[in-house]
Amino acid sequence: MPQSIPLGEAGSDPALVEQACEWLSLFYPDIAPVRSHDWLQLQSGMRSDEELALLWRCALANAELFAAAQTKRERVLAELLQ
Amino acid sequence: MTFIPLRVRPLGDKALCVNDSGRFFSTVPEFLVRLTAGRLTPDDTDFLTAEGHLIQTGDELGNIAHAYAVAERLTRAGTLDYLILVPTLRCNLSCSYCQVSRAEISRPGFDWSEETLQAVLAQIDALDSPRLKIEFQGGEPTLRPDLIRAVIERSERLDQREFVICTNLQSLSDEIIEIFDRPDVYISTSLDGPAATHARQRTGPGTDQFAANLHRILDRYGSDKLSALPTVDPVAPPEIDELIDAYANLGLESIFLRPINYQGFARKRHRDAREQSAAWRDYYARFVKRIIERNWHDRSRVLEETYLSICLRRVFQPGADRHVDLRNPNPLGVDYIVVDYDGTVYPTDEARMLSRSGVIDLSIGHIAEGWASDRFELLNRHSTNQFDPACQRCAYQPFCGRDLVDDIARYGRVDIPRPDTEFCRKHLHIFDLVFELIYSDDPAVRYSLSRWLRLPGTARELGTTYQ
Repeated sequence: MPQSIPLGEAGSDPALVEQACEWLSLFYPDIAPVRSHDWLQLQSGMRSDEELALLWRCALANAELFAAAQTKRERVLAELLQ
Repeated sequence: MTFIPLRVRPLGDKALCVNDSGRFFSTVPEFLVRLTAGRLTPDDTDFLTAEGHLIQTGDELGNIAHAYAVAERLTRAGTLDYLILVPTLRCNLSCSYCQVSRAEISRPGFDWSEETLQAVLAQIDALDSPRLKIEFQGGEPTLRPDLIRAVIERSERLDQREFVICTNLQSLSDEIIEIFDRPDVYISTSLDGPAATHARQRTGPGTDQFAANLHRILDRYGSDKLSALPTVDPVAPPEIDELIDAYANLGLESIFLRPINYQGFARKRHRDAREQSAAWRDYYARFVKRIIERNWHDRSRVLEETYLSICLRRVFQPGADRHVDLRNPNPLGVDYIVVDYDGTVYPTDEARMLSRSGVIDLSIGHIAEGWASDRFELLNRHSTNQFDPACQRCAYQPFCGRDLVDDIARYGRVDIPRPDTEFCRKHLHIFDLVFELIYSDDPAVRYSLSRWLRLPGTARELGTTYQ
């Protein structure tokens, strides 16, 4: 079932969308993100609209949290590995 | 304030959030929106602070506590204290999925030489550890009780010692029984399920002898001294209750549900064993859930699927198990080694199998000459999941591990994207199942999980949910 996400809303910065799509392709390869100029459509033959919406929310959250997390993560690991 | 790094994964109709130290909670999608948009309410902030996901500015103790919790997740491979010894490669069975391509029982040249035995004994003398675990593998190690006894007797200076003899129990000599009688010796065998399944896959006409020997061991020692593992053909797995009954009826409570390993003879005869199918994953989940049902209905004993319990304890009790196939980092050739029938040293048993199959030589040295080489140091640079680009984006990274040899066995390389590997797919599936169970409302599930975590009572809840 396809899930359409309008781009241009909060959290749909192109770089974040790119990262979120990358996360989806890593862990949920059955989902095919298809982009037009202002819409992103998630297609999967085996998932409901609700599942896809939750997955996209998680994908965006991971994308948003990742950059900030890396700085903190690397600092902690660097301390531990000293 | 500082946010502890969080990673997110769907869990039912909620989202699971896990930080780098493995602390986790489930929440609603609306919270994710507030979190990522910087619109946290005071209640949100209080919750995150209380659960250790947010550290207030200047909270040095909070920072150190987080770093400590991350460190607790990391394996500290110490000095060498675990040896897997292969005194002979000969075997009295010929299983189609033999992982080590065993040698015919009468073939010469497949047992330790006197020089190899002396080098092994010298290594034991040189161990700088108060504890030692030795696993005798094969071939069939009980074909050489003299070598087993020599090793055990040489290890007696160590206070904490444990010996596991991995045997097909096809033949039990008086000499072997005498070794089994020792309190520091344990027995590990294979039991593929009901007698017909075991006969088809392993023992053929010798099944009655195996069954008689198995009962003899249980009569003599009880079930505490014996562990058994099934190897399951994922294409035609046994009926779940039949497999459970085969164990439960013998008083064996732990069942390590292993599909055929893509090693040795299995690489040719069970080619589809390289990747496990959705049907196998479904079978595995149904098996675990059936065990939970049976534990709930019969509280007189607690059955468990061993690997699921290991993964569950990695969530709640890091460091509780020393399972060398699932740890992070997972350095090779440091705290455990394998010594083959010819004295060759391998970093893992799977590495030995790969070499036997002619796939790649992963030997790292010889017991008489040492094994400090740049070969395993090169491999060990990749022994952590900490810096892998996919693992860094995975909610299960703190609980998961790395198995370089498994990747080489299946794909011939260690650098393919993690989610494209069987190791990653298997563990994503198992940890998805673990968290589905953690957040189950079913008292039967909480009962089994509490037992598998070795808790004295039954937890009212195992995972926090934040709305």
